Amino acid sequence: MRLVAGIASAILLGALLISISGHEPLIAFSALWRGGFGNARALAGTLNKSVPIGLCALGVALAYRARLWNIGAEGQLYFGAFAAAGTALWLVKDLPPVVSVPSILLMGALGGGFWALLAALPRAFLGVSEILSTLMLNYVAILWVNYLVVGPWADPLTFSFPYSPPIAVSAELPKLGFGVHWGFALFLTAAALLWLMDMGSRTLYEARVAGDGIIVARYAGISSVPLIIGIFCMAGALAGLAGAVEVAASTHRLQSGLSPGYGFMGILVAWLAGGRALAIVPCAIFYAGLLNGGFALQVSGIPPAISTILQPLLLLCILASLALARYRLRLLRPRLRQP
Amino acid sequence: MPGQTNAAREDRIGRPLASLCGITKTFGRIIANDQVSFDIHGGRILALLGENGAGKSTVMNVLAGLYAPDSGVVEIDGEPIAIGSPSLSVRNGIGMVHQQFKLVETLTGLENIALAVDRGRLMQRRYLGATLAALIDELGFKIDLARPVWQLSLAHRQQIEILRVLAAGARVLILDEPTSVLSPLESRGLFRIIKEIARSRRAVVLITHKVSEALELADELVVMRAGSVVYEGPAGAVNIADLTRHIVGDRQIPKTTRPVRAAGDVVLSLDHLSVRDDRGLPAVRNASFEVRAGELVVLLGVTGNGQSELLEAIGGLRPSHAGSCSLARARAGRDFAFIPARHLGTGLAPSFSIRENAILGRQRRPPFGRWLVPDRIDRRAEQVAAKFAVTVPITAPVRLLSGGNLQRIVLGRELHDDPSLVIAAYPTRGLDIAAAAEIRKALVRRAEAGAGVLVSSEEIEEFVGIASRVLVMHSGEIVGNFTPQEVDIQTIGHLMTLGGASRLEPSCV
Repeated sequence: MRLVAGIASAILLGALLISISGHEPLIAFSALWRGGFGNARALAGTLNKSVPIGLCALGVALAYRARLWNIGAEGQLYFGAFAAAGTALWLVKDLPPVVSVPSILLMGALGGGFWALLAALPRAFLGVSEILSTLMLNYVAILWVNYLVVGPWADPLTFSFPYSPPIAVSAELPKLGFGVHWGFALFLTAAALLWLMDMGSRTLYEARVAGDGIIVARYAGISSVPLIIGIFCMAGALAGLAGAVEVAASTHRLQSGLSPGYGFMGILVAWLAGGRALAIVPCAIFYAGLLNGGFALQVSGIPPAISTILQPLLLLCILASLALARYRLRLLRPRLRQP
Repeated sequence: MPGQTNAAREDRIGRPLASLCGITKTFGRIIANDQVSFDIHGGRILALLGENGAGKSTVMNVLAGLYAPDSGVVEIDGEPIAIGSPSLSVRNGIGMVHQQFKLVETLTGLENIALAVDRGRLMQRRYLGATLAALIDELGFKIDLARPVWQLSLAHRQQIEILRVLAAGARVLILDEPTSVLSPLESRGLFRIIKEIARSRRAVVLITHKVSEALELADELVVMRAGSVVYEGPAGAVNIADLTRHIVGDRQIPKTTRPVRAAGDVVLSLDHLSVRDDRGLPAVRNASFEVRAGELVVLLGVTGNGQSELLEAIGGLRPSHAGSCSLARARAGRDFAFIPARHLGTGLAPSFSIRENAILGRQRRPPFGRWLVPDRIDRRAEQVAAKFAVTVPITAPVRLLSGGNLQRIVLGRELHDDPSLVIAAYPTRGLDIAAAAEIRKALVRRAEAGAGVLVSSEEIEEFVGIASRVLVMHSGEIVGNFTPQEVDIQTIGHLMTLGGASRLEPSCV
């Protein structure tokens, strides 16, 4: 009920904004829907886009179980993409797909994990706020990839567009069917694994205790440092995997602007799903639909920024309705006399 | 007798400064206060007695404006006042000092007081104003207001709290269990201050469960039980036995006796253990003693002389920097029971449920492996809760439990697998008579079953009757180590407060 109220208020506010900017809300919303879920091709595109969003969201949700804030999913995604593209372009060029594809994905995950390690170590040993460090590292990774694709890794055939050469066909992630690629299966597997771990993994239990308090963890015989590093790097690895999937399945090359903010959307999705592993799947698909629909809006002449506004608006309205619904407002006037 | 001294000064039939009439407050189905009515007179000290959960803090929170009652009237100087918000109560001259101090730790004492007093002032106050200085003088406080609060001891912080409340204009000062954080010496200082405050024609309400304190300090007594007032009258008119009966009702307090088992093998041995406190200063110096199976050893000492640090070092929460302790730190975690002084944040993870806290500290020992089977956790949680009859459902978050229930969960968990060594830091602190007796009985039973038990306590009378051995600590050193038969309470008190000035050597160490 509160969820419906939240969604409804987001839609109303969105409609208000759309009409203020001089467009028809109904046309905009129907274009959004068609672009996201309207036909088989749109749906496939949506499911494909849900993979990087969802993997990043799983990483953010995992880190938050230990009360760690992974704001660096975007940067980890880019660094993972860099590692994956590098592997694809030079290391596994002539190897059969059964070797090259998993290696690419693995290197992507390791790249993302490494990028997260750069923030995890200062956090674990010095208490440096991971919010700040991961946020800053985002820019470093994005700019690193930008440098590579206009410099050393630029494709000589694309006349200084910021692309790398395409990866070999053998290194591409094949389609699962209906236009959806294997990355979607990876995403579902990862969500299922997290759900399973939530049920009874002792390591996750100990990580949650470590997140709840250092002293409680010490009392319980848990050493927080390895756990913080481990969980944070796992979160980074998931985001890095997202980057690898994007390179291997969607763009087939390393490029500037590889991600339209999948990492940040992952944070929104993780919060919207309440951190729950299984709930992240529909939420990621929903947001991917919104994103896809936004691209289709351009065709209708409506600025795609509408979709960008709607994404956080939805999160805000739903969270607000969930939070406010927990309280009952009672107006108390100062009482002088009781009957 | 205090009652007579103040009565001689004040008009006994004077109008009450504050009056509670028919205050009723419910929280859902729980009736916390049921038609509570009593008067508070200026210039007098009123002790509000009762067990944990009797409703004393609730009714005073209504007076202070933190709760809005379901029905009832509060009168100040005979006129009914508007209640329901703290600022209204402050404006009417009611001030409350809570058990958890509401000071900003990074600010100085003066800045904290200024927060309460200087509303609407643009520039921050830098110096002591005349009125504040006069107040400090009048009441005999001796504190340095220029030091940041985090550097001050709990007793000094409490004084700043009191000063803050009085400077905001309080004529009725309510103190909620003020001595629970003080040593006996500091409590004496507080009593002096309270008497001064009463002498200044203000009213003091002391919420406490300690009968001795109430009888020593108060002019009037109000006893509450299960939400209602069961006795109201002058302090001189009732004796301890009747008072206890009012507080406890018809329940029997179990009497515990000393464990009669002969001491067995050594289960804990300390050799010149030295520990530093949070500020890097030596808190424990060269502590050496042994605890044997079947013994209940009580570590007595005035708060702040190193007992907390010593027990934390033994329990593994704090490193020692010299000497040794015989407990092995197995990879699988502690194999002894450790009941820390604080629960939420130390012995219990605050955002977890009872269920998940039931395996805290034990999650690496059988029957729990890398995979925590939910059924096994449920079973363990139910056993832990049942051990001391906690009736709250195990899925409830631990944050919501009362202090007594928190203690019961920790005890249930720690004593679950019949450990051979039990370390308990102030296990009865803040609990009412019945709960404290329950815990003492459980510890004695453990000792009788063959475990070695080490308990720290601030109150001599509480454990001396049931201990096999008494250790006294002063300034970080063990200044006394004897069986209760070898020593009397006066000597123990002497050692606790003065240290090794007259060190007694026991016949066996």
